[in-house]
Amino acid sequence: MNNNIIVSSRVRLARNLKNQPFTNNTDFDKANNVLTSAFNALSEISNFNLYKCKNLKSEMLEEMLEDHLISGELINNSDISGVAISPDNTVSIMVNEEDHFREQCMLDGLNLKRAYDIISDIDNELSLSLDFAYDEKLGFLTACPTNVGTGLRASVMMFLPGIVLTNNLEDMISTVSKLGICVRGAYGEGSSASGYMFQISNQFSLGKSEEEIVQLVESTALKICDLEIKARKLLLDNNKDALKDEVLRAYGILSNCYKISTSEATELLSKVKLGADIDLINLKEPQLIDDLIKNISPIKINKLSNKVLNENERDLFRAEYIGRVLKNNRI
Amino acid sequence: MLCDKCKKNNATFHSTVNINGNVTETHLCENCAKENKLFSFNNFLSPSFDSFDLLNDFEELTCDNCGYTLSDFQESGLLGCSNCYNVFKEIINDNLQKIQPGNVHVGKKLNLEENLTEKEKEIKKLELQLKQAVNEENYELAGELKKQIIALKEGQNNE
Repeated sequence: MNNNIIVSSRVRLARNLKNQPFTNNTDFDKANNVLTSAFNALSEISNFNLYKCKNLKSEMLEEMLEDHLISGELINNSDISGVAISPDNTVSIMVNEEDHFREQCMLDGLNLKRAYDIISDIDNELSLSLDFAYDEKLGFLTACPTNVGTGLRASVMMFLPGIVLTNNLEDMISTVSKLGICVRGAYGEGSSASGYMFQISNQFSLGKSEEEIVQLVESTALKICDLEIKARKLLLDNNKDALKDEVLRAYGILSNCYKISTSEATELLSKVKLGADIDLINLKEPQLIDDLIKNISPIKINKLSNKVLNENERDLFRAEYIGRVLKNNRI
Repeated sequence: MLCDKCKKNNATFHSTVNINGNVTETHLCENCAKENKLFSFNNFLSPSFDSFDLLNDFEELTCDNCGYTLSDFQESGLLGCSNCYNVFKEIINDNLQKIQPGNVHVGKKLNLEENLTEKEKEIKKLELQLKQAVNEENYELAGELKKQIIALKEGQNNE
């Protein structure tokens, strides 16, 4: 059950070069020097694919953003930014984001320790050829003091419909914030919580070791997981018929509609996902629902159709695509 | 259901607040929810700038390395370069006390100097110079540096 609640784990380290102005205070030439040094170092340590953002089409950047390989800030800086991505898409090193380097590793399920080990090894290698800004007392120096010290953010993506539907979200958020954990929407700072997806991550970066931070986020994620399981049980005990009706109606609309927007489809698919998780609907391949949630954004629909569609055409294509995938998936 | 605030868009964010039995329900669209900072923890994460009440006590501090001023930091919440941490030390320390559980780094150390022998440090320095020379297409210097690196590495292996 944990696997369906904890979707993925991500660890990122923020690093900067000594004696170079941070990205928010740089000029074009200095930023390009950082990018060149970064790509030289990265090309030596692993078989990363290196991309300068200015050479990528906006659709490609948007797709990388949706896949959490890059951030919105990297796109905002696209005239000076770049990214190195591992062939299996688990590691990406952003260059000239808020910090010169944002090194991240993302793995499925609850896997923070492994993700940290992978990114820490790459960080060690990079630190041999790059002169990172580091202070004996404050640790790794970052553009924002909220990241100074370890430069670490460990986050877990969680699917929490039970906690939302039982109105426990605010209580949960205020409880975990006392532990030094914050809860945000699926795409980080300022993003909304779509489809019951939330990111759980550490608030602080200094005064605790990387291992302690990873352990804190992991243990909190497991506690939230228990709470979600209890909330789902509560929903089943008290509102099973209404909930089942809602899940099946969602499935009905998704299977039969003629056009549908991304947000409506995400909301309905999330209900079906919950229904499948708690056996209110039996699907041959429940994984197909997760795949659909990932593949129905405007960018992904354009890619699937091999065309640049307008909004109405995308809504038609999306409905047809979802209907086709769901057809015969119900037992 | 329409948004309580703008009365135009569909409400997609619903919250229920129960204070001593008084239940208040709020239904907002995505835009209004963002404005109301529902699900957003920006406020919590941003550095607290209460400390800038102290501003009056300071001259306008400016970083001698990057030219960043204290006002720049106040406006953006970001520093201009690693040297700013020295220049704005007092303000930053005051800030860190509010947002971090400790004020001393206890995590991983930068494994540059302490893990390397003198000879390894020398090799690393020469390798960086070599890279620079190749970038500048100064192949004569690059050749010389390469010889020095090979000699040092051979010496290292024979030790």
